[in-house]
Amino acid sequence: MRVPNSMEFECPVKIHCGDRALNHIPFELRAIGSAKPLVIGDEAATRENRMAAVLNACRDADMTMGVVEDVPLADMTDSLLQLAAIYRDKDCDAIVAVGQETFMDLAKALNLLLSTGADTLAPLADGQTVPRTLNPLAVIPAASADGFEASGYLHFEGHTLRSVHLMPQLLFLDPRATGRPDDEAMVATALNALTNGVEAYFGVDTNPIKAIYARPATLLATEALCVLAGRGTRAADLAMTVTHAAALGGCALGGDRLSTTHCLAQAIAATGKASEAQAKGVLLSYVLEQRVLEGAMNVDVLLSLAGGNDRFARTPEHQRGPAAIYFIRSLINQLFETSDGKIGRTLQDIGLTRSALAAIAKSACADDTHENPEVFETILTHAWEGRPFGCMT
Amino acid sequence: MELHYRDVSPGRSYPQRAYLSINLWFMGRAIQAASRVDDRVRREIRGLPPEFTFALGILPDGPYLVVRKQGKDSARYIGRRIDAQPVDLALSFKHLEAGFLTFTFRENTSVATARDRLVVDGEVGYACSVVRILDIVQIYLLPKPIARMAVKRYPHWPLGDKLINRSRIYWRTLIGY
Amino acid sequence: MLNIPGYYEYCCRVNVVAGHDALEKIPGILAGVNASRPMIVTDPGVAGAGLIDLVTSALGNQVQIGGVDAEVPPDSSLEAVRRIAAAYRQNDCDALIAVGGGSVLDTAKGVNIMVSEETGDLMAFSGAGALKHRLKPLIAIPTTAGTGSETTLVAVIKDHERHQKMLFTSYFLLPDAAILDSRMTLTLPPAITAATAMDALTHAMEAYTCLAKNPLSDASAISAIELIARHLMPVMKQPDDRDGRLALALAATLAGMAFSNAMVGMVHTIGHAIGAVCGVPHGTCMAILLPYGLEYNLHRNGHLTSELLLPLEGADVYARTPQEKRALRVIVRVRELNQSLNDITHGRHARFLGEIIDRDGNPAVPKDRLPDIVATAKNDGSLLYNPEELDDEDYRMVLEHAWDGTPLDRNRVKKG
Repeated sequence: MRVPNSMEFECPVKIHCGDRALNHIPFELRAIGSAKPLVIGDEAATRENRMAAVLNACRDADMTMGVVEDVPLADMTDSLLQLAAIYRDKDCDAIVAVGQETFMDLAKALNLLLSTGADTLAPLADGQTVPRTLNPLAVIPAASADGFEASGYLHFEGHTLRSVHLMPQLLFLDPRATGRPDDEAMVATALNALTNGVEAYFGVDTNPIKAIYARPATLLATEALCVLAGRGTRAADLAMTVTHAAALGGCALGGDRLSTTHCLAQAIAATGKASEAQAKGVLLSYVLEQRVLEGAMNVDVLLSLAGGNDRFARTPEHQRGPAAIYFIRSLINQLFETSDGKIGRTLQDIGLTRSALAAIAKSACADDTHENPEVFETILTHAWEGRPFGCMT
Repeated sequence: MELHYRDVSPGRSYPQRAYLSINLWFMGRAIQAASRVDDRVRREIRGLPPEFTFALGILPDGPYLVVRKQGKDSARYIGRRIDAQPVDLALSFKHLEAGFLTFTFRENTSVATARDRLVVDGEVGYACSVVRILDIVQIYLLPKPIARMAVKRYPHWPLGDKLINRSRIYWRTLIGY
Repeated sequence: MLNIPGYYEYCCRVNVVAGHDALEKIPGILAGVNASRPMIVTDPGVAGAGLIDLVTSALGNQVQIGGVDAEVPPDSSLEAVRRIAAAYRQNDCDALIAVGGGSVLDTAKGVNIMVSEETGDLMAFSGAGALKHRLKPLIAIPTTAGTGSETTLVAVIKDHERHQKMLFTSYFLLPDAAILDSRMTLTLPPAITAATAMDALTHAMEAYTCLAKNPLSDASAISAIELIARHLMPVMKQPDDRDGRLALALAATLAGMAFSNAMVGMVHTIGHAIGAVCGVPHGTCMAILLPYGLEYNLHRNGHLTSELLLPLEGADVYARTPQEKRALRVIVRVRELNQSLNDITHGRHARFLGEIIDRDGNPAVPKDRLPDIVATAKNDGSLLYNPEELDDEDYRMVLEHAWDGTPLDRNRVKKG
């Protein structure tokens, strides 16, 4: 792995992963000085018994917990202000959040509000500096998560803040708390994780410490996708594998700028034709291929992450990058089959028209002066047609 | 929509607590018995400071087993409460379930340590001695297939040694002598 | 490949700032935590090498230095902690910058507890989890590329009056930032460069092959091994290789992250004991013992050791070596590395225990001290994380081979 001339990386998240992880919550909260946490969850967390699993696991630990269940997400501001009032009124000193993506944003917003002592939404306005020392926040994501819960991103009512300080201090991944997602949801989670992992590991601003998170995120995501595509036998804890991958992908992303695949997928999702995960599935291999041809990226090592060390070592050096890209593409093609076409091979498969591509490329570049809309449009065109750039030859 | 707040007060998992209490009590008395029967245990105790008191149990509030060094090389089980006297060394599972995993032989001590489920409070060197004592006691108390899972390497002791000492330790543990 | 334990924890909250101009980023980092008057803590060796001047000139006019204490003893002492804490208070400081190795950082952590908790009684905060609040900002600037102590949440302070060693463990003890700047290690003498790099290599290899490994510590370990394998010999040949120096510094931090989460095994168990009994530098012990640790545990973790061949020697050697021979090749390669380092340092990098000499030119590890080493090793906590057990006889066997420099007789390793 290349060492950049100048780098900086921070991940304040402590990860607890695996069997009985939830039982460690009280010990970990005490270790960072919390005596009375506020446990909050959305309706899905109650419905899928994830909230109950958390409370049960913390039961015999001599710790009183404040609980607010079934927090509605229809009016985020209202829920936020009510939760802030409850937290203060009941003298709580940490937040434990059990829920889905949008709910995790609410939890981060709540923490920011409480930590800055604000009564209004002012700290959530665009461009605000996030203070370094927020209160303790623990998150317990589900298998339907997209990884953003572990990242430094906060989307709230149209505003976006990003900072490593917004990342949760504690993350608990437990098979009892992943819920029971169907294959479609797991594929989506794994594709989100794969994109975060791969683009963090191979992107221009990568570094060996970011790779600590990006490498296992990529390994776990490809492992899960291979199983979901019908390769290999299905382990009992596939939901755990994708949740794990997504969370590590979020850690790798941190508060960094979104990568190309991400920006393009967001712009596609904004058209309402396809989900972000579907778009990422199609786009990732084309973005990688374009970047490799341009000389901006070297994805050779992706072959060892996706296909194993032996395959990587046996393949001649100049063929490794193309083989890695081919691996991802053929995986997506197989998922097209196993998902009855829900996972597209091309942008055409997922319902985009060719005429929409230019506008998508433009809107994906809107926030970012680093990117060139023409390059984006070229990538989109290749992905729409399903036509490789030719780095395979 | 108004949100509803409730306090969830801590509860007790009585069956698991009872199981662990009995196991810790038995283990504590077995350490005392082994210190009067087995030379290896005696050697380990000899290396500990006078009156050295150690505990093994569950955070945050027990149960524990508390054992104190007595004389030159023997040990005495002194109870289940860690807060009843100062202890020099405490090996604590971070939560009840972690202790339960170990005492039902699903995670041995070194796996529990490797998985960050055990906290050592005190001098690490003495903790090594205590872990060795616990290993020896488990080898005596448990049938071989289970003891193999509980310790890293099952030792080759002379057969007579093991059989005679085992029955002596069992007897002494039961009658508390 | 992926090895996922039934349960694991991973945490490294340190903000790592690395580069050829990393020191210049310190004012910004201090401003980010609302600090402007740092106290610099270091030892006479670091100050004598002119490294503090480098730090102060990088801080420029933007930061006012509250004080400099360059008298930290080789093993952190309560006395030094008290002295520096008093100076910190007297000079109204609001942050700490520790420049140096493990003992400097431990001392700074001790000072931080005293000044943050506003206490005179350090003992009240010893043990695990006694600290409940954030401490004052602490910035670590390592000056060797080896120990990785900038990533650890532990501090050891010696109370010489009471002959006690106090151990503190808390996430609040992690430094806020670790600054890795190539200028800090550019003038490191060859023998120390070699020993510290082998120390880092040992951290990474033990973390990868011992019991508390997890997917994140694995990723740190692999990167560390790859960087050391690629840059150590070039730096030995050309000490002013700035990129190589930076890579080795980063490798040491990566290895520190791996071992502070996954812990280490018998190489450290025995190495700590040799250090304590004979006063041999830690890195020297690590370099000599590493192949023995891998060899001893081979029947337990050979499949893991074999995976290390890829980062250690690259794809071609990996592909050419049959699966069942990869672990052995790793062990041979580590021995070859020690030999190359011995050659290039004209014998100063020792290959076996019998070869180590002290300052007066006498053997540093006399063979008759081996029993003392065994007795000390038995009480080192790192053994808990080693895949295979060691009893007195096993320690003696490993030590005798390591003393002579002969490979282990694998038939003599008890397999339980």
